[in-house]
Amino acid sequence: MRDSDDELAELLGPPAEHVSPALHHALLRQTERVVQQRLWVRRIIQAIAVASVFMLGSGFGWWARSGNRPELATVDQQPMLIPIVVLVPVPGEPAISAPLPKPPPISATQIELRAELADDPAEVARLYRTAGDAFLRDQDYRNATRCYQLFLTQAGDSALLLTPTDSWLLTSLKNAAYKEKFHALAPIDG
Amino acid sequence: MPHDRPNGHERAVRDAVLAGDSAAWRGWYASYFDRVARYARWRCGGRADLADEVIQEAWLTAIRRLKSFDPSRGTFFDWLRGIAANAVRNALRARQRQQKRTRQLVPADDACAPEPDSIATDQAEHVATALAELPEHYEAVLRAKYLDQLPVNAIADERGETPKAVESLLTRARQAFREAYEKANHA
Repeated sequence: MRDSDDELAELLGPPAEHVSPALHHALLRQTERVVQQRLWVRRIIQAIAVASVFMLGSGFGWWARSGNRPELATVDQQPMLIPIVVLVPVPGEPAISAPLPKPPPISATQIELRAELADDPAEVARLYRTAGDAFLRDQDYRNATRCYQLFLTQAGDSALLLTPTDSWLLTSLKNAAYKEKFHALAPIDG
Repeated sequence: MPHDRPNGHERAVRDAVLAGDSAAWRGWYASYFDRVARYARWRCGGRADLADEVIQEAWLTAIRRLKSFDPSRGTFFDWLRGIAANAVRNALRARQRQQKRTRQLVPADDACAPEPDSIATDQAEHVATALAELPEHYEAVLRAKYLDQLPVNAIADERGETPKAVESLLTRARQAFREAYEKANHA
């Protein structure tokens, strides 16, 4: 075993030191060239990447300026003025309230209907007189006469007194009713 | 010869070389050229011409495939050594193919005795062929014993095994080498 181990030691022992300087330098140059090529390839790739980004940006800017972009909705820059009425009370004068909107006018027929539906006799008389005035304004003399007569019936003898607000038709009807009532009752001189 | 331990420094050097740093590569080359050359000559049985061919192929392959070097799996020298071992096998196969293609001349009657240089050359080639045929763990223990000149205890510490296990491994490795050497000698 020992002889064979010595034989193996002779076969497998460390080789003689033999450094070839030429091989050393030649290999260094060859491998260094590969490293430098990698460096240049890396720089070229970086330059291409920067140029690509620049071109993309320029292209996008040209596209935006050429008007190809879709129309944007325009906003009206003019402000819309809305007038607002502000009531300022003047010192010493009564406050003026805003006039109430006038109610729609009631027709003479509607007034007469209210008179027919009312319960209070005084209210009934008043509404009949108002309806008569309304019919008179409409120049409906027949219905005006009818309503005035209903008024005089409802209101009693006190309504026969003439007032400044009586219309000409009502005045005439009051006179006739007065004559009929009181002259009829006057004794006959014989 | 101390066994190299992987460290983060080699990863940084690798990245620098891949980025094109020539100075980093020169540093690595200077640190490992002699060790790779020594290993290549050992694997080639001492044949200088074969060893130079292997050294050249190993370094050119290393710089071209540097991206595949993974520092977490071993040291740079371990990786280089693996490349050199493959280069030895490739070189031996190429020479064997060339020898087969060479037309055999009719031997002369007065064939002269083989020259000492050719004996040494043949012996070296047989050693290289035998080593190339060994499994990796046999080659590793023979390398530690005969090239690195480590004692059995040191080999055991390096491998994490007992001295007795290393002795047993050495015995089997020597036997395997002898068989491969005899086979190459009679080929």
